[in-house]
Amino acid sequence: MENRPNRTCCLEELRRRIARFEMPRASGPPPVTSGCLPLDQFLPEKGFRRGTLIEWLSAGEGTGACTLALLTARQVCQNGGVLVVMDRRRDFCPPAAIRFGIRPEQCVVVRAESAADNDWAMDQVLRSPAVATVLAWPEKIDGRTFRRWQLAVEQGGGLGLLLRPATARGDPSWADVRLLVEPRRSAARSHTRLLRMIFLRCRGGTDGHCVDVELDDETYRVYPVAGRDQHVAQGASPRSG
Amino acid sequence: MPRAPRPEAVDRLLEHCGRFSPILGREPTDPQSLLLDITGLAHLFDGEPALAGEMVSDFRRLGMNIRLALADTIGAAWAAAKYAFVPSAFPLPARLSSPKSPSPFVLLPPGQSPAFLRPLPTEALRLPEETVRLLAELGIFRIGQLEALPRDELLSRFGPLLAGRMDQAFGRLDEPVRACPLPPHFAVDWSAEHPISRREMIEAAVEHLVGRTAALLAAGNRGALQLECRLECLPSQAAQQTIRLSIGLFRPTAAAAHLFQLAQLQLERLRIPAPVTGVRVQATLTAPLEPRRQAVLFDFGDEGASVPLRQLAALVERLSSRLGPGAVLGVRLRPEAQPELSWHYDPLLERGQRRRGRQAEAPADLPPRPLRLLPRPIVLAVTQLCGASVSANSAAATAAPPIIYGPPLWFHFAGQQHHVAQVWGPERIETGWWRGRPVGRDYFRVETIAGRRFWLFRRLRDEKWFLQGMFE
Repeated sequence: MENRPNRTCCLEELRRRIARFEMPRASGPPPVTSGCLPLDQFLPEKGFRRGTLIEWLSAGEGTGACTLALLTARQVCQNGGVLVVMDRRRDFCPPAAIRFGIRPEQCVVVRAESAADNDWAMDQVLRSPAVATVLAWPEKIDGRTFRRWQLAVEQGGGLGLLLRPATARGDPSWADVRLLVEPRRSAARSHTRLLRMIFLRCRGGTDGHCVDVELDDETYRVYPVAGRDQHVAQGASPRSG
Repeated sequence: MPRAPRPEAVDRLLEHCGRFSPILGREPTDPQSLLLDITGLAHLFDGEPALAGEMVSDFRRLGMNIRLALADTIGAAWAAAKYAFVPSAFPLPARLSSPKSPSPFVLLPPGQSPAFLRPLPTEALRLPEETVRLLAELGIFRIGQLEALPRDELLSRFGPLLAGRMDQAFGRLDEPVRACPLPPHFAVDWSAEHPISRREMIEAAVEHLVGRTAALLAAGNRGALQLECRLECLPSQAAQQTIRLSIGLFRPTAAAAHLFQLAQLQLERLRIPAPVTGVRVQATLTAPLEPRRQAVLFDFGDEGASVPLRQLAALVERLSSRLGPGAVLGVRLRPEAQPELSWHYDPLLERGQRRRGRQAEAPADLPPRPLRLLPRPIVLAVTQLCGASVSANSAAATAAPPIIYGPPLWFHFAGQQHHVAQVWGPERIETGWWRGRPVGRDYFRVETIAGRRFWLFRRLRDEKWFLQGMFE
């Protein structure tokens, strides 16, 4: 009687094959560090690939997701290029970004009136090779627009950092990496804040990883929280499109 | 005391007057005066009064009141523009305009200039102050008195200038308008034989005219910084007759395809209310086509020299063209303590066109600020206050006086109740007294038990609590 292959082994093999298909071509530009070493360790290329979209999901305000995204933006802008902020809500505070290390002349703020104009401007900005990184807060993105942005950012070669509500977790995504950021209560009398990042999707990598980091409010340095790295089985969002 | 006009502003007005006369000049002794030679042109405007009226109305549309005088000679016209409008002790002929008269200009009929000039003061001859003073010491105050003196005596005592000015004013010595070279005009017009309403045809007309304007610019080695496109529509009661599109550019360009692409971004969103009878495309602001201008907007110094500025400029132009110049902004920090006033946005297009210098370096010691700062702080419904619960690790806490009431223990925001677990602060900001609206606030960074961080302040005036930012 023929041995039935172990179900776990089979799934693992399939996962490896899918990861191979999803791996980008080796001739692409070098990846850029996320500015957060503990996060880099779980990325297949030890950094974000240029020409891709990264999603940061968080529930509610004050969660620290934008701070983590700006760490990446700072790294990308160090080599020149501008940071474009799609500030449709009109509440972005440039001095905070400048304190982060983004120079004022590197910061371009786009304030579109309507959602349609914002989507169009986003497409243009992602498509431009002069833009190093884009920071945006899109609430709802339809599949076609998302795909268009992905193609645009591939053409431009920058990095699109999308900050979205956690309710978008179930939506299809064209981002390379989708992270859920959850704040944790920090230790008493500490300047650092505790943040947990959960890999909901990672192209070429494994979903479900959970990374706990400490972020220093004064220096913006990130430290790993020892012994906290975990793997959560559920939580990966299906890719469609 | 009236402020002297900037020479470039006068130049622009002079250029504007080009629609009334091809020979335009400036009076060398008076930088506020413009001279127009209208010889043989009045019939084009249905006579001199109509021409003068049209000029006055035209300047009023620009928001300016002018003193306008038409006369046989430059000297008489200048004297009339200067002295016929001000109440003076010098009796003027009754038929001439005065401040009491509704007519906003002075028109001296042919041959009437000498009679007009005689009662005027000697200053009306465009003489140096020293000569006027000398004449006054001799008891000569009016031009009529000067006219009565023998010419040889004037020449021997005052030199050729005084006699020359007299001769010029009275028309005995020819004085032409010295034409100023005007900047080249980059505009093309097109009139439709029949009004057109099909959008493709209108776009084709605009494309053609933009191409011709670009060719004119390229021939003059100049590029457009501002392009205006005017569509003249058939008169209709419900809609305006002229539609204007304004295209701003960061770097001067004479590339027809790029200019039309920017125009098209606006055209495709435009509702054309009536058939179009004519199109005019004009480069209203131009600059030399210099490669160095491309580095004005984003001066990164040596570190960012690899930034593809050409692409960046093209992006800014595209975004500004569709979203409006006010939607694509650059950041400048301001030395203001009040958080919402501590920076300033300015349109990137204007920054490029004004050719401002390099930005100052950002200060190294910026205080911590949230990434989201609400332009209008939200009043918080506070349920309970911490009692003197200031975190010991705050540097400000040691310097500040003891706080009677700490930040809220609980507060409501966005439909949720937040329980404060940690507090940093206060950071006291007292400023704005010179604006007439003094601001006194104690800011606290707070962390909730869920790990979220907010920026709250207590208004010192009435002890009310507000939420102003989120540490996203």
